[in-house]
Amino acid sequence: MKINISRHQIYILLLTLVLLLFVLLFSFLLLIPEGQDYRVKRKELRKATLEYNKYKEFHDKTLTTLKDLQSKNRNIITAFERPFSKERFEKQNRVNFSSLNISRIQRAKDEDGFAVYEVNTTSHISSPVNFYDFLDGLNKGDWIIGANFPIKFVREGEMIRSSFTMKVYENNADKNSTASASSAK
Amino acid sequence: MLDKLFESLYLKVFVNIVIKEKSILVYIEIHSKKGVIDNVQSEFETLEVTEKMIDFIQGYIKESPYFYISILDNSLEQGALPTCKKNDFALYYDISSCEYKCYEKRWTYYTSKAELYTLEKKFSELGVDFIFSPFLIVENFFQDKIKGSLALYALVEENFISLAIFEESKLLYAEHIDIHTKDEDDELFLVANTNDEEDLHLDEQKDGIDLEDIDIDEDDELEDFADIEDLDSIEEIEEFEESKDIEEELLESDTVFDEPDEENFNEDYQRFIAIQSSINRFYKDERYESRFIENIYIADSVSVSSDFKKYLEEEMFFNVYIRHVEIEAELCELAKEELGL
Amino acid sequence: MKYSYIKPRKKTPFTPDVMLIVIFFSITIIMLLSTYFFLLFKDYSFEKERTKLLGERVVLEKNIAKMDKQISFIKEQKVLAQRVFTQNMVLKDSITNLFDLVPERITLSRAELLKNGLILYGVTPSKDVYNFMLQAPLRSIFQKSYTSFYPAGNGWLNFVSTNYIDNDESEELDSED
Repeated sequence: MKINISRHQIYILLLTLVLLLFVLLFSFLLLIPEGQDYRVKRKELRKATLEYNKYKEFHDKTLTTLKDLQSKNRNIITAFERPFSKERFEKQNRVNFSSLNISRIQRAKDEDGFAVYEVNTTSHISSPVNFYDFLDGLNKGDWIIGANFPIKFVREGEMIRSSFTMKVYENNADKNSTASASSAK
Repeated sequence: MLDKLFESLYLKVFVNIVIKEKSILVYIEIHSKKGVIDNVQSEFETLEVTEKMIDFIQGYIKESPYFYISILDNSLEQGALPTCKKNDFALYYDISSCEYKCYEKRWTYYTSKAELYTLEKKFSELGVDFIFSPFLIVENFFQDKIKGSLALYALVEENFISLAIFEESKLLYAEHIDIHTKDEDDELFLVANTNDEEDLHLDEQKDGIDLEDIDIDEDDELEDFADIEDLDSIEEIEEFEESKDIEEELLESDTVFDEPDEENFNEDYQRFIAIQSSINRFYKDERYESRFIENIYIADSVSVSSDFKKYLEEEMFFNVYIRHVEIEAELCELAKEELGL
Repeated sequence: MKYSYIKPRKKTPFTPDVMLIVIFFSITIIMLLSTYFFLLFKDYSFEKERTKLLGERVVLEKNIAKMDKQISFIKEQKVLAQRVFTQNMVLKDSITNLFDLVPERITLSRAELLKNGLILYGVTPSKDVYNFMLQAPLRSIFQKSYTSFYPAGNGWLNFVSTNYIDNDESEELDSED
């Protein structure tokens, strides 16, 4: 019997086939799907990144706007936050008046979503100019205060007794709810 | 563990190489777990490793990585010693330049390192896995008889005789003889072969030549012949043999015409002479426990003629038992034993 | 070895050609595996990144909404403040106008400024002076204007001038002239 193909060669052939099969199966069943998955995921990531960047940009822009507003309107913002203090007010505005009395503070109806406190004030001024200065000062004061009717001036000797109502505007307790549909806008 | 698994997956290929006188015999056996499944042999008319031989062998080797190439050691300088004790080696032979191995703690076989190396180098292209001593074949082939009483066991190859004398599994004496390179004395007698009394033809010319030659030596020998007639004396026996040859030549003529026959006769006779000389050496040498041999067992690989048996029986009064041996198969058996198959 | 002079060579099924194949495929498989695991890892990291970005985007969205609210709130504040300040200024101008209106010869003793009206108490030398100097301009400003007189001590008349603007709009004072 002449041996044509040796057992060893058969084994080698088998080994090669098995390894080849493994390589092929692995490539097609695992590697290639994974590769496709990779491409898909990468594309999705790019998309997500793009969107994120857009959002980030917008966010930063909004932030700048906010900061800008906040810095420009710092006084107003703080004024709205500051709770009204009778003593401070009297102290600050005493300059313009010979005497100043805050008589009554009471909460009134909200205006534009803001809390309103009505403050009755009586004072003595020597001349209307004081009142003008006072009104000027109101706008630059620590609170958002609007002088309101009724305003009475009564001459008393050399002085003028003035009494008026002030509306002190403050942030409402829940600042977050801007439920008011901002008609003021 | 893993190796065993791999081994069991493959066939085993045994390549057995016997270097004969003018050719190299390659015998290949292929084994599976169950046993031999194929064998093939081829004889290459060359004493060198040829491409044809290599191609032939490689054709079978490629079947399996588990192939074993075994070669019968054909060194001139090889033999066996009756002891395994290293201290006693020097008593028999200086084996300082020899490779030796102990067989079952009973006797040692040795061979020349240089010749071993030459052999390995000769087959370096194929590579060699096993090199076996012919004495191993003797022991293996006759293992049933060796346990018994004293006898001489000889492996007859084309150009060597490996003989060993065993008694009850103990080696008493062993010699590895090259038939073709003989002692000077023997060579002279190789020229003119004689058979027993059957051959009546004698070339007178040759006789004349022989006579002349013999004449020179005869003086000494005749004297010896005259002096000693005791067959028990070893030296005398040797010379007696020689002188006997002379007488026979005087009486009978030699047949020159049958060249092959003559060669065969020649060789067989040489073999006989070789065995005879060796046995004489055994008897003579004090180092060996010499006892009278009665039985000879021959492992015959060359198909000796009946004359060979006759020589031994009639000249030396041995009981001769000749068994045919396929050396290449025996080599294969040795290789299988080495691997534990 | 048991019988042989020499030891046999080591026999292994891993002949050079086998080793070549094994090495070749090993390299290939190693490359495939590493590519595979690389892709696996990359997919995982992509997914993680994407989820992270989505999360952050949601956060950004929330922040933007919050900021928008804040911005609109501030704008409201600004608008209101503006209104208040303007009102104050208008008031100031009105009062200035009022007192400018009053001629020298007439002296006010009391003035009441109401949302839609004005009540003046004062002293005038004569009715004519009053009518010419005060009543006329008052008339031009206010729709309704009444005056009542009652004599004062030294031949001058005390007057009470009641003036109303008959409008539906509250707190709206004409700042004219």
